[in-house]
Amino acid sequence: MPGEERMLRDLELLDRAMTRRNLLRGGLAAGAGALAMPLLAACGSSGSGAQTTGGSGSTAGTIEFISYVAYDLRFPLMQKWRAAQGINMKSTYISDQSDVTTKLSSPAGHGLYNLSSYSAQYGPFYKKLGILTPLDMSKVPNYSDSMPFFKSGKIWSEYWHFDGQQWGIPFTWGYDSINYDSAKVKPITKTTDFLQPALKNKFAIADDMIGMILMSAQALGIANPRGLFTTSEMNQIVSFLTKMKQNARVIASGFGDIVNLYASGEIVANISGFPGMQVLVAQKGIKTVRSALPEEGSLSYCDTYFIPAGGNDTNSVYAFINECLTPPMQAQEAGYLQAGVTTVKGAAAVAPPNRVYVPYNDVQSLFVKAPLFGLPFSPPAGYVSFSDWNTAWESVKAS
Amino acid sequence: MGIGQGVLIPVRRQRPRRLARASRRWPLLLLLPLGVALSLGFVVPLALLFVKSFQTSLGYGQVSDHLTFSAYVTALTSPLYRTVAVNALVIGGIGTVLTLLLSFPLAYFIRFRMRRGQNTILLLIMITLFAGYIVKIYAWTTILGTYGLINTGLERIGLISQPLSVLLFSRFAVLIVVTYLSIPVSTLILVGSMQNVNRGVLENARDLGAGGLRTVTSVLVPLCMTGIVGSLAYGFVVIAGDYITPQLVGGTTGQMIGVPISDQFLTIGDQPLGSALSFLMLAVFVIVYFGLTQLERFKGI
Repeated sequence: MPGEERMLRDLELLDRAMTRRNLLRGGLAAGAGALAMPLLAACGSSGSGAQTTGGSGSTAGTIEFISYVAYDLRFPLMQKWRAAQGINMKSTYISDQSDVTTKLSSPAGHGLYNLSSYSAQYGPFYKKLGILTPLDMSKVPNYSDSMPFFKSGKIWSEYWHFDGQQWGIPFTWGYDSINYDSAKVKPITKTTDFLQPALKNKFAIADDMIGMILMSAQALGIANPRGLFTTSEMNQIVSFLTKMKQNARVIASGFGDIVNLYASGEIVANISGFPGMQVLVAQKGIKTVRSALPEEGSLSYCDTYFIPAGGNDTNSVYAFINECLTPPMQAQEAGYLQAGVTTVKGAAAVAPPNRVYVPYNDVQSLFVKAPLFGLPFSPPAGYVSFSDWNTAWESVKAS
Repeated sequence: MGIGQGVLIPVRRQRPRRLARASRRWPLLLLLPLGVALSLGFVVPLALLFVKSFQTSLGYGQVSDHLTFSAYVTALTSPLYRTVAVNALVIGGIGTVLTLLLSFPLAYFIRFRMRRGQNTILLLIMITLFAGYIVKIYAWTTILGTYGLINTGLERIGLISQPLSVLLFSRFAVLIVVTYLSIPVSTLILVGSMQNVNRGVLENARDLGAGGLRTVTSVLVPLCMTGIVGSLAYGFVVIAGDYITPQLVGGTTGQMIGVPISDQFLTIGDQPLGSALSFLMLAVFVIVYFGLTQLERFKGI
C-alpha cells in the first residue's frame, strides 16, 4: 500500500522514537518531530481561535511536575513558549500511577508539586484522598474547545467534573490494541486468538495489569463499565490469562521491550499494545506490523492534568495547561506522545502520520468498543477490589 | 632532682598512655564517616522498613500505624509468594554454585599460573563491572535469541534445523545471565583470598605426592575457604534477589521473588507486604550465610 509506505517513511523522519506512557517507562524521552514543523508554522499563526497565553510575565514561575516521562511536553515549541513566559519546569518522573498516589498522599509530598496527572478513573479516588484541587476554569479558556466526550456527558461528570467542580483537564488518550506482524502470521482480530496453538511461543504479553484483565474480561463476556468482578469472575479471568501466558513466549516488562522483540524476531504478535507500536517497529526496519482493536472489545485510557492539593505558583501551571490545548501544541503533542489529543481544533491540526493512533472521525464509537472502564478502588460488597486485581495479575505472572 | 624525678616519671608514664589511647581512637575516628554513612543510608532505612513490615496496608501506598503480623502471615501463607521464593532459591542456589565453579579456576589461573599480566586481567574483569547492568542483560538476548549467535552457529554447522527457543525467555536463560553477572565480583573475591596462599605450599603438596586435583581440594580450597564462603554468600544474595534479569530474560517461567517485592512497592503500593517479603528473604540470606560460615568452621580453618 503506497499510502502506508509513505506514512511509514515520513514517520521515520521523526528524530526520535516517541511512545505512550507505558513505553516511556523504559526511559525513552521524546523529542519533537521535524515533520510537524511546517504544519505548526501554518496553524500557529492562522488565527485558530484558541487563546495563547500572552507574554505579560504574570505567569512566570516554576512548575513542579510529577508524572510520566514526556507528559511534561518538552518538545521545542512548548519549551520555546515556556522560555518566553519565564516558566521553569522541574520534573519528577514516575513508573506507575501509584507513584503519584503514594507521593501526593503522604504528608511529606504535600505542597511539593503543582502539576501532575491521573488516569481518568482515578479522579474520584484522588478526590477522596484529598489530593486534588478544584480548578479555576476561567484560567483554562481553551478547554472549551475540547471534544464533546471530554467536556460533557456521563464520563465527564464521573471522572473530570464532579461534586459541582472541575478537577482535571484531559489532555491525552488512546486505546489498547493487539498487534501482529502481517508478514509472518494471519491477521489476529480477537483476544481469544492468543490461546491458539498456532501462536504458541510466538507472542508477548505486556506487563499491563489493567489492560490484560479488562481485555480478558471482554473476551469472557463478563466485563462491565464499572470494572466490577466477583471473586468467581476474577478466578475465570485468572484462569484465562494463565492459559494465555502458557501459550506466550514472554511477559514483556514494557512496550519498548516489545518493540525490540519484534525487531529481533522473537515474537510475531503482542497483547496488549497500542497502535503507535506499528510505527515504532517500522522504525526498526519491520514495516509489516499492524494493529487491531479486538472484536470482543478493548479499553481506552485518558490521562488528565491536575493541580495537587497544596501546590503553589499555580498561575504558571494554569498557563501551561491552557497552552497545551492550543492547536499547535496539540498537533505536536499527538506525535510526541503517540496518542490522541482532546480538542476539536487540535485534532484537526494533527499531521496525517500522527492520526493513526486514534480514530478522530469516530471518537464516540471508539469509546463504545473500547470503554473507559471504571476501576474498583472502593467496590461494593461482593466484588473484588483494585488490590485484588493486582494480586490476581501477580498470580498469573508467577504461575 | 627527686621532686623533679617525681614529677617527670609520672609525666613520662602518662604520655605513652595518652598516645596509646589516642592511637586506639584514631582508627575509630577514621571509621566515623563510614559509620555515619552506613547508619543514615542503611541501618536507619532498614529499621524504618522493619517497622513498616508490621504496619497495616490501607492500599495504594497508604498505611495505618496499627502494628500486626498480617503482612508476614500473608507472605508466608500465600502460594503465590512461595512459588516465586522457591524459584528464587533454586535459581540462586544453582547459579551460586555455577558461579563458584566457573570463577574458581579463573582465579586460580590468575593467581598461580600467570607470571605476568595479572593486574591487566584483573583490570579487564573490573571493567566488565562498569558496563550497565541492563546493557549486559540485553547483550545476552543477542546471544541466546532465536536469531542469536548460538542458534545461528548451531544451524550453520547443521546441529539443529530450527532455532532452540528454550535458550531465551526461560529459567535456563535466567541462570546463564545471573551467573555471568556474578562471575567478575566472585573472581575478585577468590583472587583476593588466594593472594594469602603461598605458592610454595602448593609446590610442597606436589612434592609430597599429591596430584593437581588433590592439591587444590585438600590444600588450596581449605586455605582460601574464607574467599569461597564470601563468593558463595555474595553470589546467592545477588542472584536470588535479582528482579531485573527474570523480567528481561525469564519469559513466562523464570519469575523470582524480587519481582513481586518490587511490584509491592512500585505498582501495588502495599509497602508492609513488600517489607515483610524483603525481611523474610533477608532472614533466608542470613541463615544461608551462617550455614556457610559453619561450613568454614567444619573445615577447621
